Amino acid sequence: MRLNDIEILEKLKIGDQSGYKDLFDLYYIPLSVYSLKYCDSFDQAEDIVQEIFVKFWDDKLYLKLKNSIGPYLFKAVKNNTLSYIRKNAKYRFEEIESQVNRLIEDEVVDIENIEEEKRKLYKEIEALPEKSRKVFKAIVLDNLKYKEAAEQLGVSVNTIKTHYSNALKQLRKSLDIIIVLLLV
Amino acid sequence: MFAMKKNDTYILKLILAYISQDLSEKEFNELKDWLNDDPENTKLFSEYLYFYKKSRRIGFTENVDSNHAWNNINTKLHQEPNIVPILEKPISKLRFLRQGIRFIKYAAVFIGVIGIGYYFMNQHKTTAVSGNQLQIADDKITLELENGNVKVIQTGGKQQRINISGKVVAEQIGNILNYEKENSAEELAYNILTIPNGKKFQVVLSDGTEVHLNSGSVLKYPVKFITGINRQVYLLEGEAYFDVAKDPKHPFIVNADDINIRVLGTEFNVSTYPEDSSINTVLVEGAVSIFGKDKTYDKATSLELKPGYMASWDKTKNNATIDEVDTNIYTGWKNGKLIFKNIQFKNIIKKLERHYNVTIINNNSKLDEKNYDATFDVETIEEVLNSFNKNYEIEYTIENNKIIIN
Repeated sequence: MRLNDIEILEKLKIGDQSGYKDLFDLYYIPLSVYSLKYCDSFDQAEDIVQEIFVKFWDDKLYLKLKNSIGPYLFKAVKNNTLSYIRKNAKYRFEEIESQVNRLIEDEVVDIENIEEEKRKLYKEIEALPEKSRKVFKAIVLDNLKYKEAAEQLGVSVNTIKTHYSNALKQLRKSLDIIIVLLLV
Repeated sequence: MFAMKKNDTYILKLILAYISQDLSEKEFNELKDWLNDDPENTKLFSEYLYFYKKSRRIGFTENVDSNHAWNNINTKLHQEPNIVPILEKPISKLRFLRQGIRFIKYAAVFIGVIGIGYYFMNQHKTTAVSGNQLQIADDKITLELENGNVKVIQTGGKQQRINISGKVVAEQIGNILNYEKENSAEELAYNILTIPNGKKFQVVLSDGTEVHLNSGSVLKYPVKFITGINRQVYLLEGEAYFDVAKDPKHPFIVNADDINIRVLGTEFNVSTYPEDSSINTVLVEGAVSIFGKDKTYDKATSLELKPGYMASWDKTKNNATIDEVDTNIYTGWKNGKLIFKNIQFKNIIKKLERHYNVTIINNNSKLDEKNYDATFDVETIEEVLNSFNKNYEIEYTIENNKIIIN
């Protein structure tokens, strides 16, 4: 059973280290998913979250927190991810990005919800032509680079890009999305 | 600017390049112009971006390796980095530190609850545990009234306490005894509350001060405090956590054996168990002064304690030392935790006996002087013993309702 913030804080404050694992179990994936939304890099998202977990322990931040841990962690992840992006991403449409990010629920990252979306997505993917399906899976889901996907599937990078855009075009509307134009 | 008519395929290529953050400044500007052409374009672009981000997190949750991440975090810790990677869900989590060597073991203990008894099924063949049933006696909390009569407190319900002249002085609901606030007493009349082993209790004194009492504790206090006189109570034995109501005109004094602890309004923990070599006062909030039991308070000669510090009064040497501590270690008992820090095994036994109201006989005298740290949450006595068995191969049996360590 997963513990809540207060129970975890109580454990940590009395020196019961198992509280740290409870904290990890509760927040590692939601925080990583949250960071991913902004930075789009599996590795970077995990690095940022791991660094925050290390800091949380080393600096004994639990001694300063009273009733909740989640809001602190999510805020730290967001700040660190955004500062990473500002340093590293050159070309971004800030307004559109934040508009879209707002549409994707955050702190309430619910693994079951993601599972539900996953079922939906897979159903759609199955309807794609074989090559498009394989390319989409490799690039988007399994995080391969164009070059790696090209090698794996024995085709050129340009072919990969073509299949990838075909897949995106067909899948775009599959996740029940209504984009309301709030941008001016 | 761009005379070229941008077709869908080309735009999609740009969007893809944007998503992959693999685009040139020229391409970025082209995309920007396209977005500015028509609000519908922004909508289309947003849809792609939304779908892509949603898909990415599905991919991430499929591929993330939490165990690897957990181990990775642990190699990066600078403070106490040796947390054992855990691959299975433990039933009971226990922590042991032995003579400075720190390690964690997770004990999976299976307690079968059959009928009314707890049957103990030990998984270790090496331990000689009999199938004997341990029956824990239900000793009663008692209240000695000002006339010397002793009443049993039934924690199940709601009761009123009436003094000799028939006046209601306190009301008890469940585990809390609450004394009437209005103060009309002219002379001090004392009640004595005795908490047996295996029980905990709370009392709210007539000034509003809350006192949590640990197992095996005896507290003597006036039914009503009197205006103009210090508020003095006596912790005759055991451990209590005081949340003292503020009243600067009436200092609150706790007498614990050789020492007096004087406060104005604050939160602190006092323990004076017979097996402990010292009387420990841990200050959580506010300020307290400590002075000898036969002395009157004098700011110049008394010991001032700051929050987060513990004063240990050595009973044989008659002196005090002050250390910075994590107060939660000393107040965890209020929430049902059992926390030992650098405690000799013989004293751990006494504390286990008190906490669980059991009798433990230790025939392995080598263990007595060894110091252990341990944290238990809501484990049963069987789980606690089993963890000692698993970690230290301490063998025990249950005979005639006694726990025997061999």
